[in-house]
Amino acid sequence: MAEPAKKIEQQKVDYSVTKSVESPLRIFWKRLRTHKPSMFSLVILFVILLLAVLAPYVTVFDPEKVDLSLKFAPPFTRSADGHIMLFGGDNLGRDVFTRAWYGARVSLMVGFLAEGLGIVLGAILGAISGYYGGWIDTLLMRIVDIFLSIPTLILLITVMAVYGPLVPKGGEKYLIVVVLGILGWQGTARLVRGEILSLKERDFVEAAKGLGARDRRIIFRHILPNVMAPIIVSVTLGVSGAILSEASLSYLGVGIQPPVPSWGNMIQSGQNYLRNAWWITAFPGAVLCLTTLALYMLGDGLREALDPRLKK
Amino acid sequence: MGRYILRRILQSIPVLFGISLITFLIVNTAPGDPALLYMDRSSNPTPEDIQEVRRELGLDKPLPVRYVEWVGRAMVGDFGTSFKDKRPVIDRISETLPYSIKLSVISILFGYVTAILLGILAAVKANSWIDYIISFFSALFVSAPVFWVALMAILVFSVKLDLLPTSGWSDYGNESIWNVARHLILPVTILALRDIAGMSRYVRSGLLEVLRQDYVRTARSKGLQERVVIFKHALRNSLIPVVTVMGLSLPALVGGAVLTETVFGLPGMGRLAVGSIANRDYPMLIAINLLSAVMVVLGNILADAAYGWVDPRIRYN
Repeated sequence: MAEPAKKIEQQKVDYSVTKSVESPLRIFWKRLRTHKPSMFSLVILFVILLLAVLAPYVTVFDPEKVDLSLKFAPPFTRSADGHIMLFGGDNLGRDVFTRAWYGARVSLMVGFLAEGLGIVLGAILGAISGYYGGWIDTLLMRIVDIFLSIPTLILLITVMAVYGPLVPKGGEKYLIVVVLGILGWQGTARLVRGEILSLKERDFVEAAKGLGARDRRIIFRHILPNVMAPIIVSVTLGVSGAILSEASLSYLGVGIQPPVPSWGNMIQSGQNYLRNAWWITAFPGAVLCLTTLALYMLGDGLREALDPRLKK
Repeated sequence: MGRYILRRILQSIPVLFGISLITFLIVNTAPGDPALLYMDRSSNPTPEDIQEVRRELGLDKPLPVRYVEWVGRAMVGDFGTSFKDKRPVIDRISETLPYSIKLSVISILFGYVTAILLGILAAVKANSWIDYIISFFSALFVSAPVFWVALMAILVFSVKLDLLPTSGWSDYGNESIWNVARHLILPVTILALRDIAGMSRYVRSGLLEVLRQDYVRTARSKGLQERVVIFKHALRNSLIPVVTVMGLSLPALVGGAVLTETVFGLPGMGRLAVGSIANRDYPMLIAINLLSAVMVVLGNILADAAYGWVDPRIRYN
């Protein structure tokens, strides 16, 4: 009886040792903090998110109210009640600044939700594929291959052209979320599968199995948390990609339908007036560009912070 | 080599079947009757007329039968009739496809050459201000929306500076090579930007990796000029990772071509796809999906074949 007791005590000692070791996420954050472009991007993203969320308090203009007296008003024009139109007025006299931030709400929401859906699908399918292997792995990876050689934008246009007219007005953003999610899980699936293939041979997984943990518990409690870091990198790049896809669809007229503003449809509505009123096109695009650039640089910094070869 | 390419083509057949199945199902399981889209609704068709058109389009048969028949016809180039102008889909596509292929091939060549040069520059001047500027602009253009960059380029170079035409493949009735070239400067540059931005980063990191290796030190220490060391000894090996991502960047290129053709009003297949949206021209959209996937698959095979050229250690067996 004395021996098992000793073992337990030993385990306790081990436990206190592991507690003093920094968690991977903490090390990750520490390294990221020293990467200036990433921190700068984080600040920019925070400001953009804040302006989007607080849009009704940031601006006094109505994003959809037409005022023909302010048609093509250049930037810094004062409206009748004395408010400055920072980005000017559009072809229907609406404040471009206001619409840019209301547009940000739609574009960011679609971007985050679509990528969120893609990540969940990708993590689940990738985990199943990597953990179980066999025919299900072969099948899923073949499907991934197929999707990765499809020019996604043309498929997206097709889906939106076919199903877009069938959803009720205002519902197109949810359709875009679902479609982008379904078309956006392959990268994550491949990533998670690869990580799981190497993780499932490790001792802690064996130990969990030995203790009688069920597959679902092993995947979700033991394996997936270890894959979190690479997933975070692919999320930042994925959100950027989803925002770009939504903007492209809205620009081509199959995404968010006017008068609801989105960055893509604002650029589309301004392009005919490029000669006389460049600000209608330039400003929403600049905000969009800043958002995707910040997400991309953040993703880049995250990847660097994760790279084991750069360990000090 | 020939056998390898043949095997790759055979391997890609299931992928192409998968793609055809996916697009076919997306379009044909949508609620609503395609026969109504095909017909001129102002003519007030009677139910008998609709039935007639349904039979003509083969819509009265069960879905699996329709798919098999459609694949059979597609293999001999018959993609059905366009809902829009009632002409064979293949005719419209063969009118537009050459423009898309020319645009893409010129962009790829221009893009890769520029990317390799910029990547070399960034690697040779690693951690200098030139390197930082290149890496900032590559981050910018990898993440920027193509259509907005295109519009801003039109604003600056066509509207403000009046240097280049805003749109079209050439001026009407003037197909001279100079006229076409002037029209294509902006579209080609814009379409290539993404590849330039992405690839130059891979060239840079690939070259930096190779420059650390022993054989490069040997080449330097026997007194070779730096230019010879880079172009003769290091470059080819540093291109190996670049070739890997070449194939992967193709779907994005096709998507970029859709947007570029639309912004610049070029008569390519991408703009044909966008023009088919309003009419919900299903046969056209399915055909364009399938053909652009075929192009991506073929491009991937070419990229794999190029692999053997950059890295002779790779054996195709």
